[in-house]
Amino acid sequence: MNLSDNRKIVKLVKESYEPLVPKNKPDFLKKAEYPKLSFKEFFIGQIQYIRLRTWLVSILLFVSALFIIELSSFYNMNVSAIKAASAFVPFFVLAAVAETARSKQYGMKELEMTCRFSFGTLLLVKMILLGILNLLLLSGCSIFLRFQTDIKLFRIGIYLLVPFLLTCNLTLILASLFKSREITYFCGFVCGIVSVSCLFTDALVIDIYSAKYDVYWLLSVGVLMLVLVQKIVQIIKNSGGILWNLSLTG
Amino acid sequence: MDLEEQYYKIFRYCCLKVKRTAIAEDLTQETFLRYFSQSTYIELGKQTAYLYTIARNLCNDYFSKQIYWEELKDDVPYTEGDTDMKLTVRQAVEMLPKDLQEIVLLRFVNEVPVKDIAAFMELSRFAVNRRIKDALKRLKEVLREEDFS
Repeated sequence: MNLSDNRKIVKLVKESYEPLVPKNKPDFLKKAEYPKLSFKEFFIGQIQYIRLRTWLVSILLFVSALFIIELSSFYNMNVSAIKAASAFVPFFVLAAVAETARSKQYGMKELEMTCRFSFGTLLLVKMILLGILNLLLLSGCSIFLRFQTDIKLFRIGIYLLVPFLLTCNLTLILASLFKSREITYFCGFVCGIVSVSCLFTDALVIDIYSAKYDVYWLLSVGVLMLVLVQKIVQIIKNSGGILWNLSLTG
Repeated sequence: MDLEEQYYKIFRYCCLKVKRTAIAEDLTQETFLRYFSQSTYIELGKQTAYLYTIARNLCNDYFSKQIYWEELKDDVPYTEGDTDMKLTVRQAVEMLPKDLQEIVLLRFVNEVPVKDIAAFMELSRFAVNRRIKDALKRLKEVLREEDFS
């Protein structure tokens, strides 16, 4: 046997310790009372931890957005309605930010004490749930806009996604920069700026909602999406976990 | 985490430490009971190192209580189906310093990732890798001396 190959030594060592077989393993694992909550149950269970006011505010914003779109479409069929919807989109994010910031503010201890998932996992699940809610609201707005304007649904989706993703990115950057409890106010300020910007974008760039600018819109969505994923990964990594209580084994 | 697989690996680890299968199995079960009792920590991403930490501490506790009262005898039943080659390899591993023996068992036999070994042994990954290389070098030398090449 050629022992110059480290892998062969590793294999030899592994084989030399193989025959050990514990006798009571099946009985023990059958009787042991270990936590059996599945990830699916955990994920669905987190819905109840999102405050009722978050759902209500989101629905209120959605209904207001539809109302404003309806009003705007009287003046200029396409652009006004899109602008109005875009101006509302950052506030969908703000509702989610307020909820996530609450988790951050309290360090999610209230949840972490009662379940076996890490803070990073909890944060991610909550962001996914709130993200799904926001995307549902965006889809609702897009479909409503489709009926109010003659713009295709895909283009409407892109137009609304840009302010949405931009707000998400800016609020996440703020969340990573500031640890204070006032983070929601900072985010509110940013949402306001994005919202107002949406109202004046077409004054800065003429025909920005026309087909000739669609490539730029698409590009913006792609870039913002990439930045968002990167920011989320960074936040989850930084969220860490509680250190083990090694005194347990002392 | 695959509990069945981890049970087997922790058992093997305890066997290496205490050299008695019955005691090793008791310690393995105690390890898991303590692990389960802390459900808060179970999904924090360092479960493997946490399990090994509990197991090591329990083995150390066992030694601190027993060693003055009785002489330990090796009853680990590796002999069934053993060949000279396997016996020699185990002897070669036992000739290594204790910390290297532990690393060899964790990395080569239990296939614990280097990052978990580093967390468990409170070393850097670099230090773990260096010790793995050192262990391999020493094993190679011992096995050559035993005319195993």
